[in-house]
Order: sequence, then C-alpha cells, then structure tokens
Amino acid sequence: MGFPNLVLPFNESLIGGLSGRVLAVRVGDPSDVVRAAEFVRSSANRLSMVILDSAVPLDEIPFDEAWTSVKLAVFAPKMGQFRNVVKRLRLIRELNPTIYLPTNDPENLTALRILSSVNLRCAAVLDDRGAADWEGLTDLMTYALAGTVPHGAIEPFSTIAGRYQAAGWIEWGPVFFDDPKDFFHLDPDGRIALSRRELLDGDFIQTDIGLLDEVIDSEAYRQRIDVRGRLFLEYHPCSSCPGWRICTGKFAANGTDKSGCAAFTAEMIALLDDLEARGRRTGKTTP
Amino acid sequence: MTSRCVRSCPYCFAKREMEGSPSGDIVSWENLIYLADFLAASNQDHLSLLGGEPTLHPQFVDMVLYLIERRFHVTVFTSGIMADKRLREVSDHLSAVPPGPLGFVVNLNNPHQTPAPEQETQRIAKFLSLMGPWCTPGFNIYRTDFDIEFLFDLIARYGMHRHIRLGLASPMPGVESVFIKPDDVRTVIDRLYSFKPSLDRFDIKPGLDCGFPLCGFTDEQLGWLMRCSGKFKFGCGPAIDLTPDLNVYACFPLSGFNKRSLFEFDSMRQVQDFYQNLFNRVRTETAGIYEECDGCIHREEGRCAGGGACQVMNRFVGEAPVRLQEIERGLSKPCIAV
Repeated sequence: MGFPNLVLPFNESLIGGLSGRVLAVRVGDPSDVVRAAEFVRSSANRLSMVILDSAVPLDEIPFDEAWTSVKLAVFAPKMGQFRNVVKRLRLIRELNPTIYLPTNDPENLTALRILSSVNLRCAAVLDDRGAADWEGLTDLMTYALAGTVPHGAIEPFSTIAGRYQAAGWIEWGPVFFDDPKDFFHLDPDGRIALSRRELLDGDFIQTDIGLLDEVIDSEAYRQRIDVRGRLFLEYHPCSSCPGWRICTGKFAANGTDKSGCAAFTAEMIALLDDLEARGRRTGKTTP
Repeated sequence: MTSRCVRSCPYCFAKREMEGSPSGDIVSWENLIYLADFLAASNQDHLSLLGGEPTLHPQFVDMVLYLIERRFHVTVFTSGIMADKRLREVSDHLSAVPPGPLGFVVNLNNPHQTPAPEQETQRIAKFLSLMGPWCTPGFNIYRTDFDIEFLFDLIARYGMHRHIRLGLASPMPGVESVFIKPDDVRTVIDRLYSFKPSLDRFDIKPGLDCGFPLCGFTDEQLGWLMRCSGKFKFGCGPAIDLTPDLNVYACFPLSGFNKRSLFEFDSMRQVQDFYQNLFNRVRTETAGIYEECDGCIHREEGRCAGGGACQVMNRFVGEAPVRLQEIERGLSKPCIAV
C-alpha cells in the first residue's frame, strides 16, 4: 500500500510546501482548472487529477478545450437541462470527466441515467445514509449493470461489479476519494482529515502538516481503517448484514434501520450473481 | 409522449386511448431511455413521437434532442398548436437540428370543413412560419367531400415538404367514431384524384397512409401514383404504438385489442411478430374489407393487405362470438350473461 494521495484545495503555499506527493486538487472556480493543474505539475508533486466542485448545475459549467490535458472529476449539484448539456456534449466526451451528482435529490437518479445513456462516465454520490430513494437507486444500479446497450459507466456500481467475487469484500470508497487507505483530505491550513465528511466537520486526525508521514503509523489511523472490526465490536447491525461485502459499512449511519440499504445491497448481490452465472460481469459500458 | 391533446378532431382515432389514460400521463425519462435502448438493441433507428399532442410534454424539446443525440431519426406528429413558450423552445433548440434527423408531420384540418377557433389557426401559422422546412402536412380524410386545396397555399407559404401524408379516418372497433366506411373508399379515391391537376401543377405528391385497398384505384389512378412517387403500397401492418407507461398495441385504432407491456418482449422483432401473427389470424377469419378480398391475387401476392385490419375487426364487434379465441378476447364486445 503506497502513501495515500492528498486531496486538497488549490492553495499555492500549501502545495508549494509539499514534495513528492500525489495530489488531487479541488477547485471551485472553473477558471482555476488549468492553472491548478499547471501549478501542481510545476511543483515537486505529481498531479492525479483536478476535482471541480461546481456550485452551478452541469449544464452551466463552462467546459473548456484547454482542459483536455487534465484528468478531471466534476462534482455538480444537478444536471440542469439536457438541451444545454447536449450543446457541450462533444467537448465533455473529449474531456472524459467523471460526473458526480448527489443522490439526495431523486431527480439526479434520472439525470445520471440520462448522462450514462449518452456515454458519459458518472457517479451516484451516496452519503453515509445512502440514497434518499433506495428503489430509484436500485433501478439505476440495474440499468448500470444489466443495460442492454453500451452506455457510460455509473459508479460505484461499475467498480463493484468489476471487482465482485462470490466471497470477499469490495472497497469502492476510492471512487469518491473517500477511503483513508487511499486518500487524505487537507484543508487550506494543512490540517489532515480521513474523509471529506470529517474535513467538513472539522474532525482532523492531525493538525500539523509537518507530521503528515506519521499519520499512517498512528493507532487512531489503524483503528479508523479497520471499519469492520470496529462495527463488529460495537455489535453494529452492519457487521452481520449480508450486504456487508459490497457496502463495507458505508451506510452505518442508518443504524438499525437497514430496510433501504440492506434491500438494495441484497438486490445488487443477486443481480451480480445472476450476471456472473450468465457469464457477464457488468453491463455493456463504453470504454 | 402524452395522452393530452389541445384539439378534439371529429375523426380522432386516438380517442379511446386518450380517454382511458390518466390526465397527467406523460412518458418519463426512465421509460424513454428504456425505449431508446430497446430500439437500439433491435437495430431500429427511427421513431415517431405522438400524443395526444406530443409538444405538451413539459420536456418535449429535451427529449427530442436526447433521441437525436442517440442517433434516432425522429418524426413528431403534431397539430402545430402550442403555447408561445413552447414554440420559442422549439424554435430556439430544434431549428438548429438539420431536417434529416428531425421532421414534423403537422396534422392540418380544412378550416372550412373542420372549423377551429381563430386562435388555433394563428398558432399553427406561427409554428409553420418557424418550422415549415421541417414539416410535412398530414391530412385525415373523414368525409367523402374532403377538400385539400387549402394545403397547397400552406405548403408554398411556409416552405413545407411538397408531400401530403393522407390518412383514412379509421374505426376503433367497439367505439363510436367518425370514419370512412369500406363502401365509401372508392368515392374517396375518386375525390383525391380530382385534385390531380392542382397536385401536379404545384408539384405536390400524395402519400397514402395505411388502409387504402389497391382495387379502389383505377389503372389510370395507379399510374398517376406510380409517376408521382415511384412506389406505392397498399398495406396494413402493425404500426406498433406505445403508451407513456410502455404498454404496446398494434396501432391507435386497435388500442383496445391485445394490449401488452413492452417489458414482455425482448426486441421489436418479437413485438412486430406478435402483432403480425394476430393480424394474420384476423385475415384468416376475413381476408379484407370487401368480399372480393378473399382469393384476390393482389392480396395473395402481397401487393395489397385488403384494407385496414381495424375495418375488418370493426365488423366482428357486432357479431356473435364466432371468431378465433385470441381475436375474440381482444375485442370489446358487449357480453350477455346467461
């Protein structure tokens, strides 16, 4: 296991103070995409990607041909109108970003299906309670995995399907930059959190950037990455849920109310087993 | 797209379907995408959007653009009557699409024979003035003294395609409606032929929709059709119509006959075969709309279907239940309990 990548805001002094790291840089302003990428490349670090945290819907983002040299992830609150998206579709396909939409808005489940069906790679962002509409998410997952016509991959379903095996766990947190084994999250002051949520909540594992390398040796970090052990010791319902091996406790905040997430994961496992039996690992996704 | 409509044409053969649907019934994105995938997997690249009035769908423009993006050729069957806001959307977004992948068939009624409020006429004119080059005029014949002269002016004025899609108003078996009866078809054809000088003068070609029997035309009339279009067919096969919730039936007039869910089928070929098989059984019972259809060489050699299946089945409705079971089951017959 290599040292986790760092997810951090575009802050020149913060980036300039780092060396030999792999960075995913978050920008809020689309006009910073190229500047952030070039700055990281000119620093002593390596750029993994630029994450555009857009405040405006996808259809209002001014995608730019200059972004072609940048590996891009786009987080948008919603799709907006298809009539506007379609005008930029050719460019968006060339840029080949992963488009992340939150599933707390059920309309986004429809939007994700639309975007996937026109061959855009996208991701359904699930919070620690999962989706607002589990049935809708199940439909989307079924479309993602069992669709009959090639379409863009929908994460995390494609990753889960790609790594699925009858026994063993699947970790798909990295799809959302949300797995402390793979990603640390830094704020502009260099304070370190183990997830985006913890960063926003001010729940830091280390506040001194100078001690970054020591985080992975800390007991707190070791405990934090052993989610299953922790939930098992807490007798948490997740630890005995049949869906564990594909959700790995991602929706533990649901507590004992597992009617939504457990039914979803059970359905997904059944579909994956069925696809496996029929010799198909995933839906027909475009490369 | 939706079962709602802004007009109430006297010959409407979608009436049964529209009256039986909830008022807010519109196709969802999920169903549209399912259908697009289904058609793509079936190697079908053309689809028609119908209603009611399809432009009433709140996301009409987005869905048309979506289907075009999915590489479908889209034909929209519309009255051309739409609110200013929708018309602006159509003009702003669809006029950028070349007429190849997008076309409108605008169903136009003769303003004297089928009067409509002045406001409707004005709205149609507005639509045609913006989208004329994308439009083919459609005209439904529901009376024997029909008049299509008004279309010549509209075609010239708005630059529509020089082709008129002519439909015979069809019966909906089991439902009271206005339609052209088999005995009147020859009169209709003669009437159509009376417009030949004008059609020729304006270089406008007539296109026949389903249900016309070959024997209704004289050799001279057939020669004219051949000269106009280079081909003609006198068919009646399953058109395959779908409701917003993806129920499927053979065609609008037969919407009450053996309706199924699209989810029961794996491909359009299966759907087509299912309804073609039913049509074949109907034709086994009764060959066509005339007695002479039985044993007719044109029908046997596939040049003519023997008129519309809806016409044939409309006759079955009034009979005792003596037909094949799968036909009887699909008909809306009055039942007498014993």
